[in-house]
Amino acid sequence: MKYLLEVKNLQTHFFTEDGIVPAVDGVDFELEPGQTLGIVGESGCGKSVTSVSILRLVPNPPGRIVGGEILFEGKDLVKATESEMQSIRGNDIAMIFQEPMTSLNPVFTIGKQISEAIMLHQKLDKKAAKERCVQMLKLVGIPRAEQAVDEYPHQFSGGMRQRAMIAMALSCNPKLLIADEPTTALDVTIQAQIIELMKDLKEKLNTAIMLITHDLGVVAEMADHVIVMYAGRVVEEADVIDLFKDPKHPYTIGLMKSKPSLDGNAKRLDVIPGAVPNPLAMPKGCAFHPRCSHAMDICKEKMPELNKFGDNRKIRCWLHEKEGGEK
Amino acid sequence: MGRFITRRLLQQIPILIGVSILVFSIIQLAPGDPLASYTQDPNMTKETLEALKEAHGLNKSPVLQYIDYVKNALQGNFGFSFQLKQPVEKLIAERLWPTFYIAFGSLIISIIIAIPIGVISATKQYSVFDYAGTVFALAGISIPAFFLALLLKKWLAIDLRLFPLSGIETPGAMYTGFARMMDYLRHTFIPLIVLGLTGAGGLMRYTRSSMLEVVRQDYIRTARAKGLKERVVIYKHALRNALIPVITLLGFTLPTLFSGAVITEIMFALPGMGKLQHQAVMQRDYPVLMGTNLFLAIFTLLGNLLADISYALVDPRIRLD
Repeated sequence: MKYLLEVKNLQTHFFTEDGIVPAVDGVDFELEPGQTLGIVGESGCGKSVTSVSILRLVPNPPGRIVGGEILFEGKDLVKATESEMQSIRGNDIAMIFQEPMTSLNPVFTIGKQISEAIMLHQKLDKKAAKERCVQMLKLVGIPRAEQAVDEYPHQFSGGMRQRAMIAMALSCNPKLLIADEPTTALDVTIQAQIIELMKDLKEKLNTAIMLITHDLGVVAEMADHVIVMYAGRVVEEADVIDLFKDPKHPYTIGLMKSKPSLDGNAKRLDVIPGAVPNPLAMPKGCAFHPRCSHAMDICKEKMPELNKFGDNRKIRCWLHEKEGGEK
Repeated sequence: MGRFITRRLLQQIPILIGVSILVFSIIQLAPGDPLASYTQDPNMTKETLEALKEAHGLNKSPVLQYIDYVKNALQGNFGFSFQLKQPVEKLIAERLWPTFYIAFGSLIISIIIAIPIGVISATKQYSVFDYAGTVFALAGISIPAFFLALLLKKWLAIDLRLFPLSGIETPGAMYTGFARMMDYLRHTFIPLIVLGLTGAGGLMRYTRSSMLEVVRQDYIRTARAKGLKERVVIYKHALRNALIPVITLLGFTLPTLFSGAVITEIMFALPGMGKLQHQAVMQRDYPVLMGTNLFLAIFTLLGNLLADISYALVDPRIRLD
């Protein structure tokens, strides 16, 4: 089997009192074992919902996966039973969240929270689990790991909590690690440390990583392959170098322009005009057309398909429709 | 922890002094006095009345009376009931155990009913169970204890003859050991249920709202992402956090349980603190009133202390020293 994870036409909708919000509306991507996939996009584009959909942790009600397949090692997680999912969560697929400050339970020690998963999935006893826990904390670079296991989350700083979260996520040697904005809530020096740590661990453990972020710097640093999402859909997909060297979709180009660069001498950063459309009132045609400077008549009428260009590139845009794209 | 408790206990002393002054003043300000009933007696002469006043120290100024009271109280002498002709400390001691038993018994029943219903209501929000629980809680909060007591008495004691109507034990039966315990249980079943049910409503709503807030927290998602079973997520990770605010409520409930059962105690003729206090108010029995009020003040303060200690036991972020 070539792919570890294959997401096909995933649709996760939220059924609110005001109407249906199609947070994820037909997302496709693949992930090879050991590969790092970056998912970028503005807030509200459906990145996080995609990631919680894979673990089937979409808060229900109001959210539900309404269509598509999530093939993990060939098994469709959309159809898996809750108990099958429980044995996959934390074991084969682990997740790190955005908010290290609130993602750990305040009333249990760090050690207890990490060993819980180890005892559950690795069937180790309390003592062995605690040893493994100390070992994991050392691996993620927590000083005084032996004492730290018995400490509570409030005794940890934000960076240490995120390290503890990473230790927890990696404690059962998952094949896939989903990192949902792992550095967003941390200050810049800590961000760099956490990224270094994740790169380092990835090499040691050969875990595939799905990295969700809106920080292009983090993507450039870590990812092999990138998908760009807009309004619940993939708009561009490319290897990381191609994407940064030659972004094709107007939205990707806009994202690239709006990031500061060290050698640039621009006084002001470019911005993409407008804001993410209201999910309850998506524009007709391409969702990006109201903000797009290249918008044509067809963009207002019909949603373009995600077409393949070459081996590793896909673009969803009418501008590139005629460039020899094949379905 | 030990240092904290000692410090807190010492802090209670000035509070208690304040409470005693306040209670003493209120009692003095209330119209009527303990000897008022004697004036109805045609055989009572002015001289005897004066002599009685003198004997009880009632003709002194209120300030001097208070000082006398405190002096005696510090020596363990809380005065002598005018009506019951017994030392106050003995009267309280006799009624302490029935009150304790009713208070804790009904509290435990409230907890057993309210917390599971609150948790299930929260996890299945807007379900039929949740609505049923809400109706139950509303009924528990709004039905007066005396009314529920009457209904249950009519149904369980009169119609079905399952339980005795009132009292705390069968008079003259002189049971011992297990038989005596069962006799107590049979007599107090209805009052325990009444107090338990009426107390459960508020507690259930409190547990539900606290739980609803906690299940939306990020760490609950983390717990699920670890692959824990839903039962473990809810009853271990969520409940422990949700109980923290519930403990505050319980800390406040404890003292009201000691005093709030007055009506129930009277209706079931239970020899408890509530009944003693009610009698004392009706007869302006100053020493008994002072004694019972001080006792309740001490329990309120102890309840708060207990809540603070339980806080620290449940929530590691709270450190007492």
